Amino acid sequence: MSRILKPVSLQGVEYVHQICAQYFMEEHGMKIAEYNLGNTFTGNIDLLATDGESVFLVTINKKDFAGALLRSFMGLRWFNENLDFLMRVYPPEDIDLDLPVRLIILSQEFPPEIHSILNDVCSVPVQLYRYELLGSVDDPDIFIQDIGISKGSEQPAKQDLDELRKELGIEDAGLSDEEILEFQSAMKS
Amino acid sequence: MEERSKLGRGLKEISQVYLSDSTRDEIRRAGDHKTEPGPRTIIRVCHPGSCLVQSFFLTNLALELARNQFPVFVWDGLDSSRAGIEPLMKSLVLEQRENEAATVRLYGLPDILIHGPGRHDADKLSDLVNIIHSSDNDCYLLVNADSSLESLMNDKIHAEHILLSGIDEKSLLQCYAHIRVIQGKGSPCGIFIVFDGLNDGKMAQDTFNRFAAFIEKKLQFTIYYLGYLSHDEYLHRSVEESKPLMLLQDRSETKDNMTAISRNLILFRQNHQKNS
Repeated sequence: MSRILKPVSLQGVEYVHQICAQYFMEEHGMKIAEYNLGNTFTGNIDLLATDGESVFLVTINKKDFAGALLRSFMGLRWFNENLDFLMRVYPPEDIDLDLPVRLIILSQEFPPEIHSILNDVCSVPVQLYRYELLGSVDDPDIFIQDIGISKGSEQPAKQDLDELRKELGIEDAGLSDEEILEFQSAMKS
Repeated sequence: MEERSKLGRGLKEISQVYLSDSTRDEIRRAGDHKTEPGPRTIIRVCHPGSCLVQSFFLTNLALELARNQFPVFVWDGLDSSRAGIEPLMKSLVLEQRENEAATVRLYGLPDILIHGPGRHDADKLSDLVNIIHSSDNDCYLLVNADSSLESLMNDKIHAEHILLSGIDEKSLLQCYAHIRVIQGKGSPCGIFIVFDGLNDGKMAQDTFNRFAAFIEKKLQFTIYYLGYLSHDEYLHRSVEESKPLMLLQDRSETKDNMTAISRNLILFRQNHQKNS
């Protein structure tokens, strides 16, 4: 006997954050350090999670994608600006905030070419998941599909390289931007 | 019990710093080591990230070389700063007259003679280089260098280089910039790398492999790995108490690292001389 799961409207479904959190814990082995961090005005993160290799700032889109995207970016900015404070609040055994940061956005719909848009704009990787709630409002099931990662621009801008040369006192070595970037890439690999 | 403990510490102090103030026949400094004279015995030590660790390293390297019966001269380019060699060897340096070298004389070992621009004019360094070049024995001139690139570019000495570096990306880039300048000056001698501030040998070796591969590819130049220097409590104690680590009796990870680095340098030079 087969069971047919019908899509459920988000309206009326409570605990969406908890359902998504359960997915990340069970499917990706993540640890959720906090729910609903920050606020609407300064930046908001729905889930603060880690898998021991990265810190994830998770945004769950419940209305429109544009609003969720802006909220995700504001959340990242808020996170970066308040990192010292957050490091005092969350002990490293709960979440190591020194780890590289990634954004995760869950949404029911994504605009076309979203990956290349994010690649052009973002400085951090953004992982995208499409999700749908099925079954009943009282007992919903979640279907989540990984639709890929936008790697973001991890290369520092030209101005940053000039500052880097100055900071390290290596202006006179005559290292070109390409050479520094090649060096950084070789050391990471 | 308290008395016994005090006695123990006293004996320990004596054995740590066993000085001899008797005059030493200079011929004895020469020893029986017959090796090729030349610039390979002049070593410029530089840590772009920390003058203090650089001086600490050079101090202990000098002691280890002396322990292996190599006469050692030191040119302390940082002698006018608090991060020079003498503060670290304060407990060992004999009384000295103005314009004379500070002398470290340990029982049974060749003297370590410390010169520097604070006490001598720049010609003294040239004199030391000439002494090393004309010497028929295997002795070392260790140069405690100003770690700026400008100083490196203006340096006229033809020397080997020991570069100390952390393994983070910025420190490695700084180190790479130094190697680039050394190579740019033409006919570089050996460049040796020591990684500083970590206690994971595998991580240090992996980092060196990546670093050396990049330099080989980019500059067509081979660099050599001497080892890594961890920072344990004995290092801090050694600096605070102005007692070189190699003379502390307690077993220490940093001390083991220092011994291994010195041994690698000596072995490398011996093998190089055999092959050349």
